[in-house]
Amino acid sequence: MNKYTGILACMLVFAMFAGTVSSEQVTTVEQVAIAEKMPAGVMPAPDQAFNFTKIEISPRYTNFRLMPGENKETTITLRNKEKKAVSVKPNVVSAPYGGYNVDPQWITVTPESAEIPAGGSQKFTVKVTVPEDASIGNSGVQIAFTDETMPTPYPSPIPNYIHALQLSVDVWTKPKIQIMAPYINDMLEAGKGYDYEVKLKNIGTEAIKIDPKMSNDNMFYGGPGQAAPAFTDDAITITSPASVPAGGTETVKIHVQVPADAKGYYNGAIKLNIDDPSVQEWDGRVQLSFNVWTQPSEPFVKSFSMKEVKPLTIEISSGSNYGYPYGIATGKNKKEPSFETTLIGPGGQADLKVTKTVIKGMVNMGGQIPPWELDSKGIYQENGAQLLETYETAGLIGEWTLKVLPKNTESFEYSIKIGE
Amino acid sequence: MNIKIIVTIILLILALGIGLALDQGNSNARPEWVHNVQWQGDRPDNAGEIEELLFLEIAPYKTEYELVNISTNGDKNKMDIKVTATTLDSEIPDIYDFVFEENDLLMTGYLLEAIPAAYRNDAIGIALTDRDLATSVSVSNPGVPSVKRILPKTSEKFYMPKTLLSVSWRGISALVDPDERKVVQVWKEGTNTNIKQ
Repeated sequence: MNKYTGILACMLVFAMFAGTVSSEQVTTVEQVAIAEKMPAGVMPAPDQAFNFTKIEISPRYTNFRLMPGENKETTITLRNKEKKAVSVKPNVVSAPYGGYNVDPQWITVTPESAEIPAGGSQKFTVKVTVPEDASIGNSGVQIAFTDETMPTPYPSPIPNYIHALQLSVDVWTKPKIQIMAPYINDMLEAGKGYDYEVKLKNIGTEAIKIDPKMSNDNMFYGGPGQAAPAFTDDAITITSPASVPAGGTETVKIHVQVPADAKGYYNGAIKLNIDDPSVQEWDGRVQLSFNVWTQPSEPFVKSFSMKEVKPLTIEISSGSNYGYPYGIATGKNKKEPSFETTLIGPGGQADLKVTKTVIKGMVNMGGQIPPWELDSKGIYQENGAQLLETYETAGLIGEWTLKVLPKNTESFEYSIKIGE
Repeated sequence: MNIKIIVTIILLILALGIGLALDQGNSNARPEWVHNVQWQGDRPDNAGEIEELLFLEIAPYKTEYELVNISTNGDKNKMDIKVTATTLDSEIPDIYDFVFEENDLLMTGYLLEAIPAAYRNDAIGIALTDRDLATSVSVSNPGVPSVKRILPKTSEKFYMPKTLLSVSWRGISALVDPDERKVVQVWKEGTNTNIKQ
């Protein structure tokens, strides 16, 4: 048995070794084939090794954001990692799927060519000049320093160059329409109507057409894995002029009629359809974020019984909410919690007095925060607060009913303490 | 007699001039956008000097400071200074921490949330123009974001040395350039790197 096991193990080891050698031989053959025979832009399997000149490009990616008429330049360094000199000649070409907004002729690279000695480096200056009449948009280009291309598994109309700087150029202009404010956030009560205004100021010299509509992307917000929105777009009515005159300000009026049975959150957007190419599609929107919440009209009821005559202490505390409805909300949105508390005992409604009110806060001094907020670390930041009310009365033997009607809090806790 | 009167008048004019000059100097030290200054506890001897340095370091955002409250801890040669500046536009103050030592003032921290509601909402709107961020926020519904002003000395590490606004929900934050109306960086909790450059 041991003898056969030993033979089997030897065969397995031999088979693995043989497979490895065979695989190496194939790779070597394919490397030569790719390097010598492959036409540019056509493709073997993407994960196969192939030969290419070892040139390091730093940086490999850069991004320019320029307005028409502006120009900007940057320096790129190429390092030759080969043991022989290599010739490079920059060539500006479109990037695969990079858009066609940027004309390669806007880009100049100096020097026009270079011979980089073995182990040496060469700096190139890339200058982008956007003409005055350029249209708005974002495009990518490649600045290829050699004609070596990355094999692709399918024919590609635009080769992906190996020794290339990927340059993204975002041509923009300041929007002629200013939106004040593009974000509406509120806490709504079911069954009520709310009015909001968004002001649009035209700082240009010509009237600009607008056509605000609920965004078709709103379905996205109620998407997979999420609860259905509190209400549909039908609950929102938009009233708007057709244009904003030059130098003038117009108001888009938004009315939200919250259905009586609505609950939960609504997140959506109004697409303003501003006829100004400088306003990019995702920018010309008013984001809406509503939390629909029903203020209860009936109190919460808790029954309990007492078997001895003892003092009764009731403590009610609001939920410790981050932000709404109590905490950092300010101005007219600030809604502080409160309770209407009644206690009915064997002798009727008890004389319930607030003996203590506690405002309890949650304060942090950092934790995991965005890196650009690190300068606030160590400074107290209040993230939420809680209201606690304590009531006391004399307790009698018998059945009792505690009723709590909360306002401006989405949760609360109670405690009933019998005795000292 | 006449000479005495003339000398007296000259001295009076000189005294008046010096007084006015000193008063002018004081009002220059306190900018127009500061309406009231209050020192908590004892006002140090060098309070004027400290105020002058403070007003070179602090400034409100698109508003004016109604009250600048200054509290100190330490002696006149080395003290920790906390400045809490409030505005009429916001219920949340701007808070600055400084160390004053050897006649030099060093800002050691800040938390600036005194941003008028219109600019606050505008910054949130700009932050939500980032599609990924808007999706994350709508999925998790983390409530109302905080909006904090980020000073140029910090901003330059992430974008460029200019005033930016940080719009943060729980676990996600956007660094917004309000002038160019764009999101320049996005951060998500649990990641050490920023997901937008």
